[in-house]
Amino acid sequence: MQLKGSMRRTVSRLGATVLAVATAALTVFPGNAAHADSVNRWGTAGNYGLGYLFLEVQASSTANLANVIAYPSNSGSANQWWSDHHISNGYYYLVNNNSGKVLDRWDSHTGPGSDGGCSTPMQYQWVNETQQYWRFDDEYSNYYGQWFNMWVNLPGCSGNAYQATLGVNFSTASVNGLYTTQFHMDRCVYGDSSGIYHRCYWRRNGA
Amino acid sequence: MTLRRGSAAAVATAAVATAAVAAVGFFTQLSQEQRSAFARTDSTVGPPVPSDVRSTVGPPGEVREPVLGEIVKVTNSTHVPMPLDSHLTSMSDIKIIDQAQDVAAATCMRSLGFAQWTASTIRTWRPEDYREFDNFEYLDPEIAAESGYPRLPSAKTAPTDAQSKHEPTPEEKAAFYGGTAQTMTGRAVPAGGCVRQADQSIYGKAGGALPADPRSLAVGSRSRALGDSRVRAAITAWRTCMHDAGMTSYQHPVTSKNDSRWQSRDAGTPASAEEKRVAVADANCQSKVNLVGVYKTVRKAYEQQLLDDNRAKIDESKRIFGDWVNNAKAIIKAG
Repeated sequence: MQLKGSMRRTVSRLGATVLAVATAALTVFPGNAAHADSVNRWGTAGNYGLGYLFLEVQASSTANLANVIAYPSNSGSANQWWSDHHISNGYYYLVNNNSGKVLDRWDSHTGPGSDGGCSTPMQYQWVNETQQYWRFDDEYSNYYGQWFNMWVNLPGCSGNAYQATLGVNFSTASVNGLYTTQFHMDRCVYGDSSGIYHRCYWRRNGA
Repeated sequence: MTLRRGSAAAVATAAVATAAVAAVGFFTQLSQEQRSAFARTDSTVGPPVPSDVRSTVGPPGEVREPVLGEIVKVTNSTHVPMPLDSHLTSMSDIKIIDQAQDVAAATCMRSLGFAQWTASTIRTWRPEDYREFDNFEYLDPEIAAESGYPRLPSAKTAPTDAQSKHEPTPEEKAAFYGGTAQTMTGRAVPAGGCVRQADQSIYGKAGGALPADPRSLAVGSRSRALGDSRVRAAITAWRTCMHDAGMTSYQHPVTSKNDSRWQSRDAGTPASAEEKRVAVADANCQSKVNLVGVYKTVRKAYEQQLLDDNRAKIDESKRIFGDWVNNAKAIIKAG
């Protein structure tokens, strides 16, 4: 329980640090998109001094296996726009509008950086397999008065769906951004004072 | 999982290099306290170096670009038929499945003693996610001049969205997602949690993967089309056209349509003069390079390939999907 307590305190401290900025920024970003499609930018729940970070492919790569990272807002780049396609089982594909490739992960990652045998999130060509399926879990924060969502991979790391939450990895920074990772769910459940755990949650179009 | 990743030494090397320079990026801009806090919260997560991608067997072969027939010329908003159209599962049925998942999971949670848990405590959908859409659709220059980009009416906020809701506790989430074997009161949590139990009540033990989901195949045709050299060339031509029209900041049609100045505008709010100006240029450039026609023709070719390769599996999938919908309806009725 010591770890849990520490995590709570850490998050509360971070929450206090970024809260004012995050709240102010709510008025900057537009609300839910009113356009006639499900093409979205996915912003981090937290604001870490650079404004909200948005899901994109590192260096606008069009290559398979390119890292998917969180980067400062750049709405003028197709690289930050994802087409979210709902499929028959209720899960989603996230297709990057720049590369045409989809958000993916894979198993059997055993080298340095391994976190339980699964890869960091990356893009890959569409291959019609379930590791490219992402579940949309939407959770309401009374503090913010809005919904935040998690992206949870269907098969999960090495078959463990409890370890498959798309999040930002604070300990591995990219240049001006953050790498993403797949969190074990128990690292996402300890909400801070705002009710949600920032690194595991996303804002649709930054709102 | 049968997917195999191929040699990606360059990618791995680049990732190593990028990780190595991480210290000069975002991380160094944090205070010492924030930095050490991050390190504590993620102490077991190392740098994202896909070092062993070479240990998996080679990648699926590159998808060969299909030979195209006549490129369709799209001059109005009439739907361009796609090979999978008649095979697609309906969005209304998918919505039923989504809702049933939430209802079944809530029933499971309450059976474990979590009385405050409802179907909307964690929901798996949003109201706006049941729209059919494609990457590129015809944009009428006259309509663009009059009203800018097409927009939907503002979504009505459901009453529950405007009220305080029960926020899940850590114990509830552990039971929901299967992170614990039993609750604090000693009740056994199903393997995989209430999420998996809900899935199984709809999909059966085999899980939620169809032999060949026609909607997944349709995503595949879109994904492949976006990466196809003919479509990329059309996007490049569109960009040149926009630059010639004096709009040098737009690199891709998705960015002009979703310019932050009008992205969130709903149909009840008039478009600004600037939005109309951009939308007209966009429409004219799309028309000039036949962007929608090229895209639809390419996508159609990929989709035909996927249909031809998966016809029997699609038929089987439609039968299974019918069972899912029936299961979902029963869950909602009982819930």
